[in-house]
Parts: sequence; C-alpha cells; structure tokens
Amino acid sequence: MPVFTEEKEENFKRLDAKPFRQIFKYALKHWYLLIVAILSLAFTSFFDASFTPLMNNALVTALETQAGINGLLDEFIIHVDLIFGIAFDVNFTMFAIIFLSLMLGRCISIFFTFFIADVISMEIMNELRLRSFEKVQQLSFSYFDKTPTGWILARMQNDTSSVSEMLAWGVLRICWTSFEIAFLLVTMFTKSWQLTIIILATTPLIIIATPIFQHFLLKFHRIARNAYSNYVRWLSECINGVATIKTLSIEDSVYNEAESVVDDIRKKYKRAMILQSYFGPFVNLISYFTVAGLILICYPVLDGGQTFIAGLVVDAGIFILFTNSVEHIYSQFADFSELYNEFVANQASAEKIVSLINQVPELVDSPDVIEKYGTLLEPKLENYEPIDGDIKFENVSFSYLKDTEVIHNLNLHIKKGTSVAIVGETGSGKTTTVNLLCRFYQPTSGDILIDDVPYRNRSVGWLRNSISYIQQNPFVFSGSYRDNITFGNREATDEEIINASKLVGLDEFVSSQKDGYNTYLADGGNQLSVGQKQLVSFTRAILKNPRILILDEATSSIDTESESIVQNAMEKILKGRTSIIIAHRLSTIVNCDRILLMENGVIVEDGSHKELMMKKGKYFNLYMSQFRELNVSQQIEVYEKEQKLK
Amino acid sequence: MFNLTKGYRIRYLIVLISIIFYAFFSTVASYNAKLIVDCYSFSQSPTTPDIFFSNLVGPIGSLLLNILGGPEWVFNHKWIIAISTVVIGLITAGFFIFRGIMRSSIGTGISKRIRLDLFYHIERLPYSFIKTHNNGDLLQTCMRDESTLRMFLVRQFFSLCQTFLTLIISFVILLTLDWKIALTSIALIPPLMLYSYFLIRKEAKLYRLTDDSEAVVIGKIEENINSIRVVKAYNNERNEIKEFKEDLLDYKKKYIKWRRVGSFFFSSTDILVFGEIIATALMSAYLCYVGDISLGTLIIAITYTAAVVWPIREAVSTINDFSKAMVAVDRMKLILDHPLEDIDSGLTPKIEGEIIFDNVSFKYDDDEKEILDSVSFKIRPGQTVAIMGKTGSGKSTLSSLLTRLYEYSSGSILIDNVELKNIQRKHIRKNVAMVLQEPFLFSRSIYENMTIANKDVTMDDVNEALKTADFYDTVAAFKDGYNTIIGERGTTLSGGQRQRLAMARTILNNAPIVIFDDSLSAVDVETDIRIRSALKQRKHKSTTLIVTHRVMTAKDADLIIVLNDGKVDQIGSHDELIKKNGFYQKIYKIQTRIE
Repeated sequence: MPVFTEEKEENFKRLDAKPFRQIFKYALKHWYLLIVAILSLAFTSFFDASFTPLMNNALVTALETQAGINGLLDEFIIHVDLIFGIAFDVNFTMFAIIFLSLMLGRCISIFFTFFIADVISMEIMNELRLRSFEKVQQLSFSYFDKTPTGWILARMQNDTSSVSEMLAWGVLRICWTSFEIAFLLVTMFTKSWQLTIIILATTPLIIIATPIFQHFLLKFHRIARNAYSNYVRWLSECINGVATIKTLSIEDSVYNEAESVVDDIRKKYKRAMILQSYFGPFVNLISYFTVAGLILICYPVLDGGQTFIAGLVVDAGIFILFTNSVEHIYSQFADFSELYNEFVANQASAEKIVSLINQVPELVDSPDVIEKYGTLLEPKLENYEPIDGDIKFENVSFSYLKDTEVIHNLNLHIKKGTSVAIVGETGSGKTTTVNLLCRFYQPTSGDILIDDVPYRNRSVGWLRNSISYIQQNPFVFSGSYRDNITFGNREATDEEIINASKLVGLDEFVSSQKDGYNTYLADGGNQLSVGQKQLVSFTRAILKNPRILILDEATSSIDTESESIVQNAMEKILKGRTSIIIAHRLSTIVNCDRILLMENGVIVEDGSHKELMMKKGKYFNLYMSQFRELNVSQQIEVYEKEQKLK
Repeated sequence: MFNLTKGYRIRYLIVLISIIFYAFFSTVASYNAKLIVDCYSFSQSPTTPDIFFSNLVGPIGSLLLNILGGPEWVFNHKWIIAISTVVIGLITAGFFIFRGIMRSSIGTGISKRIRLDLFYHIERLPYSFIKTHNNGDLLQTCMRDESTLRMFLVRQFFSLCQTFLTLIISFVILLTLDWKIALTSIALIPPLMLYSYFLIRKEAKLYRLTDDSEAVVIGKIEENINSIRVVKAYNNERNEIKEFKEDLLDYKKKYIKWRRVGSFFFSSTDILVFGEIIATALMSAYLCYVGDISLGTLIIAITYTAAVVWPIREAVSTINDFSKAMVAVDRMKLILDHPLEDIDSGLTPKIEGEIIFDNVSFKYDDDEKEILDSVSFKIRPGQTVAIMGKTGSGKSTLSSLLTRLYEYSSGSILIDNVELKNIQRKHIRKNVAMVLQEPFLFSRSIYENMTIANKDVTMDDVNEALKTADFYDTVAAFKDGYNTIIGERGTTLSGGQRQRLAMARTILNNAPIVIFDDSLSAVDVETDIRIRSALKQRKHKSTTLIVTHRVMTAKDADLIIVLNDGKVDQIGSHDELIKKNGFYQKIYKIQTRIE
C-alpha cells in the first residue's frame, strides 16, 4: 500500500545574491564590529598560514645546520625570513617568546571572530524577525486569506534563524578562507615558486569535484529529510488516530506500515551518510598523491643532484612546509565550494523571508487621512472623534477575487444601540458583511457610513478603537488574566478591569484564583473551559467600552454549562450598544431586536423573530432545520426560551 | 541505554577496531614523512645508511623500513617513499570510509529500532494513557528525544572512543620517541580538562537561559500570527510590536552573555591547546639542538602532540552531551516502561450479539464521580437499541466499555453469556464495531480507508457497504472515485461525509455488534432515514446500539434506554415511553413540533 507520496524536490538554482544583499545590509549597521572581525581574521590567517609555517621553517633550517652542537641555547641563532621580505635573526629564547606572544594574539583574535560572528548572526536574526513582525502587523486580512499561517510562521521562526546564521558565518568564512589562501600563497611563493605552481596545478580537481560531491550530498540529504517528514506526518496521524487503530484492531497492519516507513528513512539516511564518509578521504587522497609527487620531484635535489625543474632549491624546511601546505590549501578550496553550496541551499529561505518583509499592505489610508489621524503604528489619538454607533451600508458590493462578487448592492441601516442578528447558510455573506464593517476589507463599490461619515474618510485605527470584535473561537493569550483583558487597552485601571469583569460575570471566578488577576494562563489558557475563555474575550471587548460590538458566535460544540454562562454574559454586554451578531445559536437569535436572513450576498428577510416566524418563509425553515441538529440538552434550553418569549 | 545497542555490538566493535587501524596507519604515514626528512639530514652530514636510519626508533619505524626493502635500498631508491605515501594514503582512506559506512549502518539501524519500539508501545498503550497524555508530547519524544539519543550513540560516543584511542596511541608513540617530549605533551591536559569542564557547565547554564528566552520570542511570533485577526480588531499592533521588541531585547542580552562565555571558552582553551603544542615543539627543538633526537623525530613529535591535544577539548563537551542523552532516555522510558494493553490473551468465543449489563458501574481512576452507576439492561441478538440522554449522562462511556477501551469498575457485562473481561481484546474489537461522532480517517484513498481493517473484501462488498451508508453516489461523483485521497493533502470531506465513510468502513466488517456513537449527527434527517432503512434490509443482522439525540431515530428501535447522570432513567419501547411522563416524552413533544 502506498503509504506516502514523495514530495517534489526543489531544484538547484543558480545563486542569486539579491536577497542576501538586502539581508546583509542589516549586518552593515554593525560595520565597526565587522571591521574588528575582519582584522582579527586577517591576523589569525597570517598566524596560521604564514607565521607558523615560516617560523617552523626557520627553526628546521636552523636545526639542520646547528643540531647536535651541544652549545648554549643563547648561541642557537635562528634566521627568520617572514613574508614581505621581513627578515631577522633571533636566539632561541627570543624565538620562543615571539612565538608564544603571537599565539596569544591569535587566541584573542579568535575570541573576537567567534563572538562577533555570533553577535552579528543574532543581530541579523532579530532584525529580520522584528521587520517581518512589524510587516505582519500592517498587512491586511486579504494577505492572511491567501497565506497559510504555517507559511508565515516557518519564515519568521525557522528561516530567519537559518539564514542569519548562514549569512553571518558565511560572509566571515569567505573572508577567512580568502585570507588563508592569500597568506598561504604568499608564504609558498616566498619559499619556492616552482613548487607552489605544482601544488596549484592540482587544485582545480578539488574546486571542481567538491561542488559536484556536495551537490549530491545535499540532494541525498534532502531526500532523506523528506522521508523523515513523511514519517513525522504519518506518525502524528497514527498518534491522533490511536483510538481508531484500537477499535478497528489493526495494530499489526499499522505496525507493518511503521516498519516500511521507518525502513525507508533508514535506507535514505544511510545512503546520504555513506556518501558523506567518502568526502574527507577523497580530499586526503588527492593530497597524498600530491605529496608523493613532491617527494618524487624533490628527492634528487635532496640528494644534492638536479631535478627536471631547473634552479629548484629545496631543503628539509621547505619540504616540510610544502607537504603541510598541500592539505591546508586543499581544505580551504574545499571550504569555498562548500560555502557556495550553503548559499545556494539557503537561497530559497532568504528569498521567502525577503518577500515577506517587502510585502506591500493592500489596505492603507489615503494621505489626507494619514495627515490628520496618523498611521496605524503612529496614530494621532488626539484627533480621533467620538463615535455614536449609527451604521449605514449604501449600495455596498464586494468581491474577494475579481469577477466573483459575494455581496451585491447591500443597503442597510442599523440604528445606534440596536442588536441585529445575521443568519444564513455558510457562504451567504454574513462574515463578509461584518468584515467590511470592521474595515478588514473595503467595499469594491458603495460606501459604509459610521455616524453618517464614510469610514474611508477616517483612519482604520479610529474605527477599530471604537469597535470590539469577538471571534468564534475565543483567543486566550499566554499571560495573566490582566494581560488578556487589557489587550487593546494597556492603560486600563484596576477599577475598570474589575468593573468589566463583574459585568460579564468573570470577576467571581478570577478572584477565587490564587493570584487573582495576575494568575498566569499557560499554553493559551488550556486549563480554561471554552465558556471561561469566551468570558475572558467578552471582558476584553467590554473594557474598550466600544460603541459597536460584533460577535461571531461559536458554532463548535460547547458544553452545556459553558453555554449557559456565555448566554447570560451576552445579554449583559449587548445592552446599550450597537451590536451585530452572526448567530448560530438559536437562543441568541430569538433574543435579538432584528434578524437579517442573508442568501448569496443579499438580505432576503428582515424583521423580528416573531414576525419572521409568522411569515413561515425561509427564516422559518432555517430555524426549524437548525433546531433538529441540536442535541437534546440544547433543544430543551431553546424550547424553554421560546416559551418565555411567548 | 546499553540495551539499545543490542544486535549492533559487533559492529560497534568493528568500528573501534577500524579506528585503531586508522590511527596505526596514520602513524605509519608520519613515519614515512620522517624518512624523507632524515634522508635529507643525512645528505648534509654523511654517515652510513645503517647508522643514519638507526635514528628511526620504535618498532613501527623499523617495520616500515624493512617492508620498503631495508635501509640501504631505501636510501638509494628514495622514490619508494613516494609510492609508500600513496599506498598508505589509500589504506587510511579505506579504513576511514569503512568506518563511515559502519557508522551509518549502526546509526540508521539503531534509530530504526528505537522508532519502531516507541511506535509499538504507543500503539499498544492502554487507552487511558493516550487520553491523559498530550499527543504533541508523544510526538516530541519520538522525534527530539530519539534524535538526541541517536546522536549520542552514534556521533558523540564514537568521537569519545576515537579521542581516547588516539590519545593513547599517540602518547605511546611519543614515549617510544622520547619520554620528555611525551610528558610535556600531556602536562597541560589535566588543567585543560578541569577548566573546560567548569566553563562548559557555566556555558550550558547560560545557553538554557538563552534558549528559554528564544522560546519566548518564538512563542510570541506564533501567538501573534495565530491571533493576528484579534490583534487587528483590537487595534493592538503598536503594543504587540513594543512587547515583541522587549522580548527581542531580552533575548539579545542573554544571547550576548552566553556567546561571550562560549567564545571565551573557545579562545581560552585555544591558549592551552596551542601552548601545549608550541611548548612541545620548542622542547623537541631544544632536544634536537643538543642532539638527543633527530630532525625527523622532531617532526613526528609535533604531529603527535597536535593529535593528542586537539580532541581533548571536544571530548569534554561530549561528556556534557551525555546528560542530555540521559534525559532523553528518561522521557522514552515513560513510554517504554508503561505496561502495555494486553490485546492477545483471553477467550475468543463465537459472538452472536447478546449483551447483558448487570449493575455495571464505571469511574475514572483519579475521579470520585461515577460516570456509570449500576446500569442494568439486556439486549437480545439482532435487536436495535437506542440510547438517549443529556450531554454527560454516560452514553459514550457505554461504547468504550463494550470495546474494552476502559474496564468497568464493578458489576458484570455478559456477551453471549461470557464475561466481557475474559474475552480477548482483539477479538472483542473485531466483533464490536464502533463508529464515533467525529470519526478518524487516515489521509489516504477512500478505498484504503474502507479496507484498512479487512484487506480480503471484494469490490462488491465495498460498493454494498458504501451504498448502505448512502455514500456510494458521493464517491462516484469524485474525479478519482475510490482512489480519491482524503485529508489535509487531498480532498477535505465534510463532517457528514466523514461520518458516512466511517459508517461504511464499519458495515464492511460485518461485526455482530455495531455501535453508532452519535455518528449520524452531521447527516441530514432524510439521509439518516435512508441509512437506517438500508441497515434494516441487510441480510446480516447485527445487534445495533445507536447513541442519538433524535427521536425519529430512536422511534424505530426495539428498545430505548434513557440515561441520566450515569443511571438508567427510563427503559422500554417507543410506545411505552411516550405514554409515561418523563424525559423521553418531553423530547418527543419538542421534536415532533417541528417535524
């Protein structure tokens, strides 16, 4: 049985530096750190690629002539011939002191290099996260309709961290590798240009082979990772369906599947790991061959004869220096190729995160409005007019996508202080109407007037300051009750908080908690029932003292106890406010002043519950069929409410 | 942890041996380099080859020299050293690759076993365990903890072994060269280890703080994005950014503190490591200067000191990983050590479908309240029974008891006169089929979902079952028919469609007892009626329990049981109950008003 399908492999693209350049600009803000890091790297490379080999070379050369003399150490004079023609004679003690003090300098350089690379990677990550966070706050609903939450999360959580680490280290590694190669070449040329050219002659092999090798390695790893994510998906499905597995008694066949899924990962990872174990030896082998070549070329000279390269001068010191340099320079070239691949591998992530940051919000206020009311992030609160709550829809039409209109020429007047329920099938335009009112979207044509002023003439912030919108699924943030309640109004006083909670009926419950309003709600308030969460969100809404209240009522099954808590609270908070309710619960509908029945973006029936029931039209049918769907507890409740109304 | 390596121990041993060989041949390689250097020194101050090569101390050196053809011959044919360089290079590469292959085989193999073990347990843990544990935590154990442990068993364990083997071999070789050099090379190791140990502990502590702080940042992003519509509705964007900036700042501070210590650890241990290497080099140079050792020996001495010192620092950080691996093992034990549900032992009587409840009570282990309280009733084979009651009256618990997902606390349930507790769980679950209100379907094709529990059914059987569940036409209308993939990566089915598919899956199994746990709640009344009449017309008649809130559904049942607060409130046929003043009559009134 085909348990899973292969995910499409992302193809290797050519490296495009553009997204990296934009991100690297954030690092350039810390240019002074970068300069320190680069200087440190230059020193480290000088120490590793020039100083140490040349000092060793000097020591060996000195020993060659002076070994076994049994003289005093101070008479042991070493002629040091450093790069750029710096040459001096020192005795052994001095030699040791110079060596050790530069070593100390290298360690300090390493400290700065590592520290700065990490700090810059963190700075880039923070900057990316902050910028994308700010952008997300400004983007309009239409963006979130098109973009899955998971996509945005993956960009902000994972890509930011992998790209910033890659980039900070990548850029410094480019510098490091370049310095190393440069110093090595200078060192080698200083000693023997003929041998340097021989070694360089074999490097193309490394430069060409490494990317090819890495290419396959990346590919194999990606295939293995895909197998792994298939496994995770499969596993999470099985864990969620464990009750079904038990009741169907299919443990054995599912276990067989487990074996094939898990074995699939094993095979793919093994393949990638085996390939990986060939790489190190491969580079080593090439250097062994080159060293063998060096021996063949050098030994006649060592014997005091002549080799086919005229004028080649070799002594033991040079020989050692060059054999050691072979591996050193190869590993640098291999590193370069690896870096290239890392940039390519991270390119997709970099492009995605940059595309998020560069996203332009669709819904923005006009310049005149911004002039008067400020922007969303820098509002001029002093210019906000108070609001009464009278709502008019004038010839409003709206479409999410071109050519598919969902609201057709809607005209509606909701007087201030009244409560209106909108009912209708899924897709009839209830939620859209409410979203238009909140200006999450704007009408494609027509106008919405608040207190007889088109809402486009005032800012988004002004409107939302006076509107409270309560979602279907109450959202509780990880934080204290206070944090949750003051969301949207952080300056609220204790008194205001307690009054709002009392009105809703939350105060009693919160006060009974150990830390009262400071009680921490972990994991999005998992310890609360749905009803209690809804009360928290009601209190949050009320604290703003909004003139307009919008409720998107929960359809999801909510336990009986919670339901009655929520019902009671709702009646209280609606009082005295213009309220619009997308109603699912029949008990709520029955209580509203006015009911609108929507169908395909048009209001087809409009009146009170009693009027519409007497009409025996569409509302009557809808009401009856919804009643049937209720469980017995709910049916009894609604029935009793209807009796009261009569 | 040791048990996990079972079946791979020989391979572990092979890897260790290949590490030793690898180290041995690397040694030979450096002797090779010494040969050429010594050759050169010789040409500077001529003696006879014999005396000259006597500098080449130690058994490895002389062995190499003899293999290559003896001192005299080597001296006159120095090209042989180039060839031996390549040969030794090939051999070391061979061992390196071999070790890599063995390691990947061990790593992936062990990892496979751990995953399967965990899965086997998760699948067979008692239902109550699954209910009380967070699915996400179980998944985390299977992913994060498994990978921590695997990394330790495969990567860190080997690098530890390799470090110590290299350390020992290199030290022995240095001893054969000169004991003074050998001692100098390890002089700084004890302080290095001690220093590293304490610094790493401090670093790990700072790391945890940083990690926690990053978790806050990540959490904030997640919360903000998930609630972005609330944020906008409440005009709270400015505050969110302000708070996010504070979180980022806190992270930045902790991160810098952590990296400062981390980088300091790196560079300060570098001082010790380099100091060690340079000290040994200078020491050897001095010995060479005074004539105690040859120039070639000096080269070897420096090579080996580096081999001794570098890995030590790695080793210390590896020891730190050991504690991480232990934590991972502890979390796995939570799953692996929990007793499994016994699904295989017990009686396997033929089941006709008679069910007798006699004073059955049930409560959860950690709960005071009885969910079911002395429930008694009798159902004859082939009967249809409707169970009604308010939310929380214990209706659904009945079906969990009948499938032995939970065990009743007292009383007795007899299935065809056999005590339910004595019947094998596998057997009872094959014979008591259950359709849940929110059924779970696998993200595969419709056909695979249908046949998941019973692979030897004919296409006719599948069609028959789909027709009975009134789902045949829907499936036929899909572009890919039976092969339509459902779930998040395929077609999303509506609640009613899911219920009907789950029902068809259950019908296909032909179980003698079938429970519909409110499983037609999302289906409209007309379809409900069609399905029930189709069920009645089936040749094979099962004992059917229907948990429902619709009087229309209950009306046709042979027996109606009304539960209230875990007790049987009313029991009887529709005609009987309708006459009695009570819950059923009330519901009947309410519902028929609208029919």
